[in-house]
Amino acid sequence: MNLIQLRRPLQRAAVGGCQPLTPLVRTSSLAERFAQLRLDVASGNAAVEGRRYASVKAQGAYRLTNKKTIPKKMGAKKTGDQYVIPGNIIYKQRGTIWHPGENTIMGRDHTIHAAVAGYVKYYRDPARHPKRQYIGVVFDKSDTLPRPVGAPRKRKTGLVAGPRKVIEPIEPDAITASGIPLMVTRHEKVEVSATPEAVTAKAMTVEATEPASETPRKITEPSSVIAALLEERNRSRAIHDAKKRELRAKEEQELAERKSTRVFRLHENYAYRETNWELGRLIGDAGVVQGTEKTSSRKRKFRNRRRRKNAVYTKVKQGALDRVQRRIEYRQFVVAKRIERAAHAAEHKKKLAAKKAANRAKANAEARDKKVDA
Amino acid sequence: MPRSQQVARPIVRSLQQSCSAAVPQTRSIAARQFSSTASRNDEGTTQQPAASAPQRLSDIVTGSHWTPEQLEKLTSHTMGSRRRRAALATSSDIPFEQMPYQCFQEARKIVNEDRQEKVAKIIAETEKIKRIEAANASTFRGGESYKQKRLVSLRAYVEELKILADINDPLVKRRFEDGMGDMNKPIYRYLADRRWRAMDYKIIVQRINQFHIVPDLLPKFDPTMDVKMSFRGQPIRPGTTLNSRVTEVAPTLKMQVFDKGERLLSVVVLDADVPDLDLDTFTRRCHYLATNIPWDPTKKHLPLRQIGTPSFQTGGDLAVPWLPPFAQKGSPYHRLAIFILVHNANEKLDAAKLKQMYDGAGREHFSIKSLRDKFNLDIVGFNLFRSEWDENTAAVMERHGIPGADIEFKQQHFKSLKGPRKARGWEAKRQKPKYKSLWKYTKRIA
Repeated sequence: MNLIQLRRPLQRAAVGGCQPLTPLVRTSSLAERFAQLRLDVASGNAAVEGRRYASVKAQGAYRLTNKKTIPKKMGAKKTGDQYVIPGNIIYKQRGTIWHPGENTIMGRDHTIHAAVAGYVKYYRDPARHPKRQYIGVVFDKSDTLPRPVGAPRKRKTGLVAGPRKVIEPIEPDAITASGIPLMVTRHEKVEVSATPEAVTAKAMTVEATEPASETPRKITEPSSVIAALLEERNRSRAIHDAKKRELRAKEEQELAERKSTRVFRLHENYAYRETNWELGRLIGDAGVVQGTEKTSSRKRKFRNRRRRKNAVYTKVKQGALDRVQRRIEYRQFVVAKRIERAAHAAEHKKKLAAKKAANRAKANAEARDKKVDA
Repeated sequence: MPRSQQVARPIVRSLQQSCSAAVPQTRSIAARQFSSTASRNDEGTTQQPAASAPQRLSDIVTGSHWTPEQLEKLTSHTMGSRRRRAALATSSDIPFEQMPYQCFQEARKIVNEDRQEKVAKIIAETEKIKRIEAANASTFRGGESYKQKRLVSLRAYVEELKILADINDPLVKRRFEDGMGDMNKPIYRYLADRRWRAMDYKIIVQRINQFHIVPDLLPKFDPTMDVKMSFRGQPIRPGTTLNSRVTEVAPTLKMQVFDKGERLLSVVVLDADVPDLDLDTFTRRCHYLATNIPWDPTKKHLPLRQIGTPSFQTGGDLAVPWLPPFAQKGSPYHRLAIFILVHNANEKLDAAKLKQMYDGAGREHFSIKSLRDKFNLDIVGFNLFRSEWDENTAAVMERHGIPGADIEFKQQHFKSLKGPRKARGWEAKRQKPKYKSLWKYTKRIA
């Protein structure tokens, strides 16, 4: 719309305001007076309205369907009171225009599905939510939703009875049809000799547990309290350490046994060998003994990670360290050499000086001799 | 003062105190035990702690909350951190209310003053009640109805004052938190109610709504007492799905009522989801019904399996014995609801009649609503667990002679609403006699 067209109503209003309300023309008859008072829509307000003509059709009348997009086919797929079976789509939508009510379920894309076989009902439930609209399914076509407050739900089982199938657990065969065992396990008992450390630990535990069973001593002065507590702390620490050592020894034993246990399986070529994954486990990652890693605690996890990293980078690190060592050695060598050279030079200088002195002395002596001769 | 001395100071001081215990105490102890409320005739029998002897560790041992062994462990000098052990070793003889903290003692004085004020008010209000009771109703402008209204509101006010008198007392708080509060006293009942409503009540209400107990079993329901359950000594949270071996024996209920006085209770356990294929609907089944169980705020545990046995102290009549919950294979989970009903006007029910009505075939199509209405009961407590088919159900059903373990439920199949589809494709098109020459390619393929 152009600007002039927009301005026109304002213009008109301004003009109307300036005009006196009572007409200046003297009217005689009552009819004429009424005619003056009447709002003359036809003639007066044409400018205010901004009249449009039938030569241009309403907006959107010529709109063509967009052929470049895929139609989403939203909307109601079932009308009210229509029969549905479980899983039928009742309404497809973007967002929750309709909410799932009784016996309906909402899908991942907000589609409303029927959960039971029955008749579709579109309804509102102000007791549940003041603004939402719901879709429900009822078993009787004559039922209405929402149900009265406090009325029990109407439910159908949707089940049919049949004989119960009893599934027997299948046990894997131990031998082949020809009577050969499918699997051979080779256990190896590993004896880890009891270290003297462990023995002492045991002794300590005995020693530690004995005084604990005593009745708490009578406390008379504060120093004795603190002394007792310190004593107790040391004792508990000793017990803890001994336990830890024992546990570690046991773990080592178990690990050794586990590592040496081999399971050989019968393969297609009638050879007994370990499976590939078992062989792979034997090798494991660098620095990791498979199956021994415990991630029970955070700290242990970090420790394991560090150990693994160390194992990988040990060589690199060692190389770097060696380089540094070599450099240090070279530097030391250079310094020593320099010192040696300096010492050598000093000695040489001294020697030269001595020689010079000797020469001078010689010359002096010769000169003196000459003098004497003269 | 060096740090080490600072640390050791309280210990040294308390030791000095304990050494000088032989000398008559100079510190004036509060005149009376703070929370030993005056005995009131409207309350049940309350055991008053001796006013002169302050509470000691050895006194706690007599409490009912912990066993002596547990207490021994809790108060032993060999457990806990060094700081705790030091504190325990050096301060076991100091009673709680004599703790040597100035702020604590000053605060106790203020609380004590407030209490005196409240007690005076209680006395005044009680006298006012007596006066009004004695007065003729015609002397009031509102007449008899006004008099009754006034009495009710005054009594409520007195109850409120009773709670306000003790609510700030640290000893009351301590005793309540230790589980040694005397539930005959209004303050402990009030505290227990408040604690229950803080979380457990909310959970129960949520279970009632989310499991559709309202409106499936009752049109409306608001529990007013705390009901917790444990199977085989294991506390179970409301709504848990339990293995049928666990639920083979009846649970033990831990119940707490928050209003004073004796009353008679009935306990009902019902299955709200029994599939009835003939009618294609779900019905209810009674799994347990016991009645005439005397109960008061001091009672806590109710082992359902012991009700009806002569050795059971609490009493009560067993009308319908425990039937282990079971869910046949394929049926959706069964809601097992435990309802506690209180008898109106403390009327005893006829257990024999209940047995005749609800035992045997009467278990099926059980309705809690009709029981409530027929026998003038009020439903006050609720708890819930669920049951599903599991690996032990068949064995449990066999042990208890329950038929139906050989049945499996399957989802009903509904025929598609779409019509049959016409065969499509090259071969389908050339099945007609028009293409007889091609039949060798189009018929009897594969």
